[in-house]
Amino acid sequence: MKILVCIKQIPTSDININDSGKWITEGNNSSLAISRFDENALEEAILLKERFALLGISVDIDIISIGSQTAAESIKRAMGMGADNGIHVITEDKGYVSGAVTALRLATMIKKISKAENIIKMGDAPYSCCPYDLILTGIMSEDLMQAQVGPMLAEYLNIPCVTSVVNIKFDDNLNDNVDITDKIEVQRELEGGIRQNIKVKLPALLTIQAGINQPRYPSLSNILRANKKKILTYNIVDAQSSNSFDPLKVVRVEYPEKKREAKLLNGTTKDKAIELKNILKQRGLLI
Amino acid sequence: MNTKTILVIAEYLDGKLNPITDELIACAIEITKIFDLKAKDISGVKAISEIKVIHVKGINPLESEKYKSSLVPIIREINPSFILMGHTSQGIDVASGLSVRLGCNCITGVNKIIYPEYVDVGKSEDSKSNILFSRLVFKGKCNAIVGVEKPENITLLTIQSGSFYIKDCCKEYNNIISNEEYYPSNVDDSTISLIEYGDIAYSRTTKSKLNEAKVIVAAGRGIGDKENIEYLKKMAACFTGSAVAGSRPLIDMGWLPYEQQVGITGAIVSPELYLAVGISGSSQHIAGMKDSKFIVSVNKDPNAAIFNFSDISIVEDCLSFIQAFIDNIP
Ligand SMILES: Cc1cc2nc3c(=O)[nH]c(=O)nc-3n(C[C@H](O)[C@H](O)[C@H](O)COP(=O)(O)OP(=O)(O)OC[C@H]3O[C@@H](n4cnc5c(N)ncnc54)[C@H](O)[C@@H]3O)c2cc1C
Repeated sequence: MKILVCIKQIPTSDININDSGKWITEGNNSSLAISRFDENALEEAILLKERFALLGISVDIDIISIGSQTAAESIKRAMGMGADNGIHVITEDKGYVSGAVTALRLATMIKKISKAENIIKMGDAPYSCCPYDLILTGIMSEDLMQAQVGPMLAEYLNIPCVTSVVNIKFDDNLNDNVDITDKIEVQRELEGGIRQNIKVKLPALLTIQAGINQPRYPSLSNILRANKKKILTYNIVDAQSSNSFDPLKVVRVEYPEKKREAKLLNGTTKDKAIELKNILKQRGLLI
Repeated sequence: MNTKTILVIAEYLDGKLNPITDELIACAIEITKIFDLKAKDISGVKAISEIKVIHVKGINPLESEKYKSSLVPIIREINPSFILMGHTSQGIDVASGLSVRLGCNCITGVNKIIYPEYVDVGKSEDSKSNILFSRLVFKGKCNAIVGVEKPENITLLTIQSGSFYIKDCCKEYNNIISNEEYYPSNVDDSTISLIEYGDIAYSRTTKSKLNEAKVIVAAGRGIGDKENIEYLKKMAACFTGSAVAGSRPLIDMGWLPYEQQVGITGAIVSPELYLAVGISGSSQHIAGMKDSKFIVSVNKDPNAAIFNFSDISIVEDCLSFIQAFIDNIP
């Protein structure tokens, strides 16, 4: 069984709007990490691998990331957590990339890597050509927050998609005595904690919501194993298809307008604490 | 000049109309205003746009693969300039995939429609090219102002809830709004047979004790550690009728029980005082607490989005501040 997890490296430091007003700059404490929802997707893949192993089914986890040189660190981290292979598509695109572009690039790469033909042609129902049984992404990235890449990638590959997955079940399938590599049962989350039960035939794409698991830390043995492995590296031109121009453009970025006064308290920590206390007393919120 | 159609896809759950639908209509009216402004500039004609609200019946919208397939022919027939759906769990499930099937533009999480100043009015008959859309990025810290490269294509938008409201002045647009029901038949798609939609489980309690609290002291990831929830409790103890709550990640990590989650997938609260410590202010969290009477936020990042929704902003390390607050209570 083969699982692909799509991960994105994002800045976790405080960000500010840059001087041109067209994009952002990362703060002094610049640091990068795997977007949180993607990390949940990765952990879920590893959990699947472990549970399948108990049943004597081997699972191979590939990681793919489109990103700058530094994204290699995130791929290594993913392998340190337990993924088997890494694929890095290097691009220096830093600004806004719409979901349609990323999804098409991923689809192009998947096709290229597997050499499966036609998987990007829609309507031909060539779902059996998808080289992966399961593709997992985060529900959205923490930086651009579009929630587009997963569902769009599924369309390009012509496989079914379930978004906001908070649970992947096994036991029911086992009792049914059906082939668990054929169909899985998942729960997706709606507003207010409502859940929808869905059975989906593989190959399928799931976008993973936080709360499904607690991502583990990389283990030393996995890191050592990962260091010995080569990450498959491609250039972004390899992922280009004929129509991969970006349908969206960002004109500028702005700080949102203030909905309330946002009165800023000044002075030392203690000054602020005392001032807040007085404000709350005046309003009868503190006795 | 052609009439532009703005298509609103009414959202249903369990056969009941979701309130987001009103916000979609309010957003459609905003777009209409821009069209009409432009049309006036060009030819003095008013109302060149119409708003069509469609209610798709006889199909469960939660069966999203089926729903997507049934929407495609309806949309092709109507051929709108814009399609509006909610940026809700349903919208997220359907919109992006639908846009690929339609080959159209797709912008998710739109919170504002912008008519830019620098537009060369009258040059192009197509006023759509001039409309820009605002959507949150970076945990809600800033808005990216986005335009489409090919305005002649359909543009599908998912609308952030809480961004557009039906106001009194919307009444004058009633005559251009029509409602229509659709009963799709013979939905045909290869992926439908691959997916089986089961029942809905209301497994988690939907009632929250938070609704009774006068004061809510809520923490986010900025609190740093599970142990530090103790500080939070101590701070809450300074108030009468108080409760402790958290942003979703704290519940996901098991630091607090689900009943104490505030936000779109948790409790919607409006206490006398909401004290947010170490919460960034993502739209999903804001949706759960923005109607609180008085909001105080503590965050180390002066640009944190939560400050835009706060009466009082305190830029501090949250633990030091909590300590100072507790120490200075007589
Ligand atoms: C479909 C969907 C539904 C969701 N539903 C909800 C929901 O119901 N409720 C919800 O809350 N979220 C929800 N989320 C998650 C949401 O998108 C955010 O990820 C989440 O709200 C962020 O929580 P946070 O503010 O605690 O963490 P972060 O965004 O990580 O913010 C932490 C904040 O703490 C500050 N900070 C860090 N260290 C310190 C320090 N020492 N002192 C002071 N401040 C510090 C940082 O500056 C930052 O602003 C949902 C997401 C999705 C996709």
